[in-house]
Amino acid sequence: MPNLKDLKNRIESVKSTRKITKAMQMVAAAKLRKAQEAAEQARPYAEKMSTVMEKITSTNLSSDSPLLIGNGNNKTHLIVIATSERGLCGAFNSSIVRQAKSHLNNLLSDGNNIKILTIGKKGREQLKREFGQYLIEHVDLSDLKTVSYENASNISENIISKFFKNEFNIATIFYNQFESVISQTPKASQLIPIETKKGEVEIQTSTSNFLYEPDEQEIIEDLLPKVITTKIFTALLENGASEQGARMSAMDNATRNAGEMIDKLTIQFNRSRQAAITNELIEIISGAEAL
Amino acid sequence: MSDELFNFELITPSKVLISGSVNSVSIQGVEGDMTIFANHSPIATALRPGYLKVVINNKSENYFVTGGFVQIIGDEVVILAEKATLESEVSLEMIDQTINKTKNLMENASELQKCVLAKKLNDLTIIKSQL
Repeated sequence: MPNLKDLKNRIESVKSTRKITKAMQMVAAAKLRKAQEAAEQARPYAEKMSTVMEKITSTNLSSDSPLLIGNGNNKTHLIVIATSERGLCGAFNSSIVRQAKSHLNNLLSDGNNIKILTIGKKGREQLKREFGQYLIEHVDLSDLKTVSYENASNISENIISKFFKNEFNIATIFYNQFESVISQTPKASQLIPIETKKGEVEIQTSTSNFLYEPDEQEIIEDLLPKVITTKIFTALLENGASEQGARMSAMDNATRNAGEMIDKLTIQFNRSRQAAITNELIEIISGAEAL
Repeated sequence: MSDELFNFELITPSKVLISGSVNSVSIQGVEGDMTIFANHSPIATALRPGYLKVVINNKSENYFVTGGFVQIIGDEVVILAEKATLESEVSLEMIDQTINKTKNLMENASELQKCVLAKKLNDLTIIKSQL
């Protein structure tokens, strides 16, 4: 039986924990709104970019850009894993890492080479032990408040230059797709070679007399890196919104649990206080009777 | 000059800057400048770094773009720009930054890309000297 002072200390400490988690929840809620807004504002660009790509690839099937058709091999995979820089966000990071790990194990058992590029230190920490030898690079975004297109384009330039140096053949990015505050699903999306919906797009009459300035080849050459950058940018924004959503619900749970704990401890505290009082009373009464 | 309006969108990765009916749009494409009015024939062209003039309600607005892509289909004109700012907000610093970035990109680009980037660099230097 813990004594009264211990109980009182414990209640106090749980109360201050609750204050912290409550504050974190509110901060996450505010950040979530911002992150969602950013993700929404980036959507038109990504959508237009993909329709433009579809238009061009549906008319010009003969493009031989390596970014589109690969560099002739598919043995070496570059896996880009985007996670958060900070913890305390529930299963956010581990769900991405879990999916990435199963993908990595599949690739390894099929005899492929893998290289891993991590964005965000939490994923790196989790992968270090098992896949330490495959980690080739890390992108640190911890100093940033919001991810900008510039950041995404730096990452994509890095990846593309590695591709042209033949360091890998296929690149895939893992991130969390934001669905709602309580649900974020880990997702994988292939960056290089760019997946196109060849054949699925009906060739419209308007595209057949489309004019290209300069020629299609050069436009595609100019567009492809942008498509990759846009994909990475979208992934980072989705990840940002998911992180805040996950943190918000994790902290909401923590706050609720702390409240329950406080209730329990308070009951225990009151009981033991009552027991102590009863004890004292019994002692006094039996003392008086003995007289 | 026709009075007909058409739908125009200027989109950057972080924001939709313009979306609505406009009178005309003047752009600086890689193969030459052009002004787009309503009922333009379908075309897709890359932009070189430079200015674009958008006329909305007979009032013109000038934007500076560091490059991008225009697509015209029917009554829809879409410009996808990596970066677009109002002309009045263009600074020497910003252009220097873009120039440096382009130079970095050139180091490990393919031959065809190098060609494109060299053109871009040239345009940027001209713009810088005009500021």
